[in-house]
This record gives sequence, structure tokens and C-alpha cells, in this order.
Amino acid sequence: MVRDLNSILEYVDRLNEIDTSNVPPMAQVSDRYAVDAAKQGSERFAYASREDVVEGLRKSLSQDVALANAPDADEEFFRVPKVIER
Amino acid sequence: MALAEDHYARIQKEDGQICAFLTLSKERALEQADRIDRMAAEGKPLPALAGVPVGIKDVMSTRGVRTTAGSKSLEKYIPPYDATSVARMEAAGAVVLGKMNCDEFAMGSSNENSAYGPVRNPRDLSRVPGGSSGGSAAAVAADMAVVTLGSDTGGSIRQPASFCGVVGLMPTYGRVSRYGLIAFASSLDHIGPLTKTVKDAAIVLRTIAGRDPMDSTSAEVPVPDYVAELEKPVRGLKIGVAKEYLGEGLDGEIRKAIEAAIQKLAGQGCEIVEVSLPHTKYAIPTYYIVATAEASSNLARFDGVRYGYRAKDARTLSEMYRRSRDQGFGAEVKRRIMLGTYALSAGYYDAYYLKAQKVRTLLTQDFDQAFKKVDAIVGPVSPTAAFKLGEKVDDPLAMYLADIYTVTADLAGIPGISVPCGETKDKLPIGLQILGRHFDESTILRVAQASEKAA
Repeated sequence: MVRDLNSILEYVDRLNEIDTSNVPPMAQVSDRYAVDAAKQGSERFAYASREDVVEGLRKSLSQDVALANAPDADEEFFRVPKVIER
Repeated sequence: MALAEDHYARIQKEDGQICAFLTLSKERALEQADRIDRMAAEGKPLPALAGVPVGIKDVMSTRGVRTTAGSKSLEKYIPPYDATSVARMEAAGAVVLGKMNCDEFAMGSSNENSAYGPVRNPRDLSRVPGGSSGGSAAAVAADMAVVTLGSDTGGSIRQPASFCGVVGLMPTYGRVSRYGLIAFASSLDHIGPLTKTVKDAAIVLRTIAGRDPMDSTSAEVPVPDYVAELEKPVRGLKIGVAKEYLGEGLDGEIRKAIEAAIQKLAGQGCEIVEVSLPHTKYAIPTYYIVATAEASSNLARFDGVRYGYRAKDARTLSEMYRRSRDQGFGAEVKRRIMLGTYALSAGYYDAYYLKAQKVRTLLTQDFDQAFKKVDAIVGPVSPTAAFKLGEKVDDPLAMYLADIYTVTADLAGIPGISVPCGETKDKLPIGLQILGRHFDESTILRVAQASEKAA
């Protein structure tokens, strides 16, 4: 594992061959539309923000459904090993 | 109903060797088939995919049907809701036969990283089907499903499609809702169809595309009638050929098949134009930083508390987290979580993650420049045809390098399709990749169909 990780890190070091001092970072494809107003269709991703709503788009899962996949639970809570060791 | 039962019989007969399915959802399938039969009997109009037997890659949530993501950590996970793409397929009449094998959390290029064993390539059982949507591609190739859904983060729809000789479409980032998809790398994940024909891919895309209020990254862009768009001629289209995609490292037989496919497009009146994507050689390192960084964050949720695998007999909470993750995840997933965590860590963030994000901008600008000159770009999907099982498992970097022609489209968010364009002398399928502008699936589908007809 250590050998694999080292060879991968060595390989990705080739990115340092490129000068990126004047290049903006791209975190999302939507950045391409949202930040460049001159680009046609830049409104496309504008909807990605919306007003807060009290009731969400979907009703919350009921408690029993939310707990159904838990490895350990009682009728109300997820159960986990103790957090603080005495 | 008869069609679904025929497919189950075929799965029973063939899948013992191929291992494309992880879970069969027979009850749900036959219920849906029965509903469609009754609609037909009552003379009601049938939806576009009425009765079509489909398979769903096991990274997409299916209500009441086990969804493992190819991981031991989700061996017993039963989602309480459906992914939007699954719900849309069923609303259009599709019959969900079951869940398709894949690399664990869609991380891999050969399907050998599945916790439930590898899928074998139906064209040659000693070879891999590609990955990570290996089960999805193999099932279509072996006629165990008419359509499957896959996911593509670095090539995981297109590469297995090319290895198995089927059509695989990765839509534009934001074209198809990812609600209910088990996230790998959120800025790169796409859902798309694997099919026998380009027309089928167009029908499925028309079904699953479009804005979904449950996925804020799904785009508010009108969905054209992709099937009607296929009727337009390709004559006059400008087709780009990137010299970086036909250079060193490409297998000679693949190159010949791609060049022949390009000639055939020229013969149908396309204008062939040479383009350059100069940053291509930096795509793999960029991809493996961005993808692993996002994965390390996304996979933090598998803590053994709310769902998923929990290690037995841990004495404290933190021991439970550590041991559950250690025992629940396979080697490749751990490798990527560690790489990603390292790339995001305080002292290395600028050197790795931020650097990769900047190079991602350059890679995307390469495409912006190219698409000023051409309507689509064609080239190979993978540098080789399907390789042997076990051939690359000991060398993760060699496995990563096989994604060289596919990761660029994921990074840029543009659509891409793989369509069969011939075979090697060993009868292994070769795929032609066609890349297009953002939200211009219509053009790449059209070019793909022209190529399909000429092949």
C-alpha cells in the first residue's frame, strides 16, 4: 500500500510542470456558467440556490424507517459504544 | 410479463459464469410487468419503455431492494427510497430486473474491485468487462437486460461499453438527476444508459434527463426530443480529431479501427478537422486528486452508525468507527480515501488539491477552444481492448492510466458516448468515443448513429 501510494504521488507531481499562477481553480462544472457572465447560457445554473422552506421538498423519513438499516438501535435511537472511556 | 420471465430464464442460464447481477428484484419486476400487461389489455396508451427489462447499477438506490455499491460495507443495506433515475425509468414502464455488479463505490476500471467477485466479459470469459459499470455492460452484451443504467465518474460507462461491444452514454454534468446515487466524487459523477443501439440510448436519455428539485446540481435546461434529433443528417458537421488521443500508448489495432471509423464519417459528408487538447497528459493526475479528495469526504458517512457494516465487539465509539471502516472497505477504496485525505490535508492542500483544480480549468479550456472549431470530437475510448482478469490488479497506477481518454470529459462536464466500431483480430470489441459540447447530446448521438450504421 505504501509503495502504491508513493508511486501515485510521484506520478501526480508532474502537475508542477505547468505554471498555474494566473489560472482560477474550478471546483464545479457549474462554475463555468456561474462565474462567466459573458458565456452564453450562464443563467443555467442560477437556480441552484433557492429560498429556505420550512417543510422540505420531501417529508422526512419516519423514525422506524430511518432506524431500519441501523446495525444497532432501539425504538427511538441509534445505539453506539460508549464515547468516553473510564 | 413473458419478456421479463424470458430474461430471468436467461440470467439463470448465463449469469453463473458472467456474474453481472448482484441482486434480483423479481417481485418488483413481475408486479410492474403485470401492471403493463393490464394497461395493454385495457387498450391504454403505453409509455416509451413499457415492459422493457432493465438493470440498475448497484450504486443507485432502489426502494426495498438491497443496494450494496459493490461493497461489503453495504451488504445488508435496503434503501428507503428510489433514485430519481430509477423512478423515471419505472414511470416510463421499464421493468427493473435487478442490480448490477460494479467496482466497489464505482472505483475501478475492471470490475475486479467488487466485494462480490469480478464480472467476466461475455465476449471472452478470461477478460474483464471494464469498469466500474462492468455488470451493466456485460448484461446488455449477453442479452440479460435490454437497457442498464450505469454511472460515469472517470469513464465508468464508456470504457465497459467499449470493452463489451455495447453503446454507453455519459450525459452532460447536470443533465440527469443524481438523487439517490451513492456519491463517489460529486463534481464528476454522472448517470447514463448502456444499450445495444444508439437509438435506445436516445430513448432512455429522453426518459431520465431533466431538472429534479431533489438534486440542486441538475440543470434547468430543456430536454430535446433526442430520438427525433437522430433523424437529422450528419452531412456538414465538423468532426474534430485530437492528435493527443491518437499518440503514444494507443494500441495499433485500436488506432486502425478509429481511423477507419473517422474515414467513414468523412464518407458521410462530415468535415474532419484536426484539433489539439494540449493538457491531456495532465488529465490523469488531475483526476486522481480531484476524485479521491471528493471521495474521502463523501465516504466519511460510512461510520457504522445509521446503516452499513459495523465491526463487532468494539469497546469505544472511535474504535468502532475505525474497525468498521477497516473491515467494511476494500483495498482500492482505502487507497483512494487515504490519497484524498492527504491531498486535502492542511500542509498539502495548495500543492495537490488546489493545483489540480487549476489544471482542471485548463483541461476544460482545451475543450472550449476545440469546440469553437468543431461540433464533436472523436477518438478512442481506451488505449487497449479488454485486458485479462488479474493483468493489472497489482499495479494501481497502470490501471489508472487506462482511463486517459475518458477522464477529461468528466473533468470538463461535457457529454461523451462510446459506440462499437470494430473488433481486434482476437474478436474483442473496439469502441469509438464521441465527445460534444455541454448539453449537446443530440449531436454526439447523431454522429454515433452514423458511425453505428457504417460499422
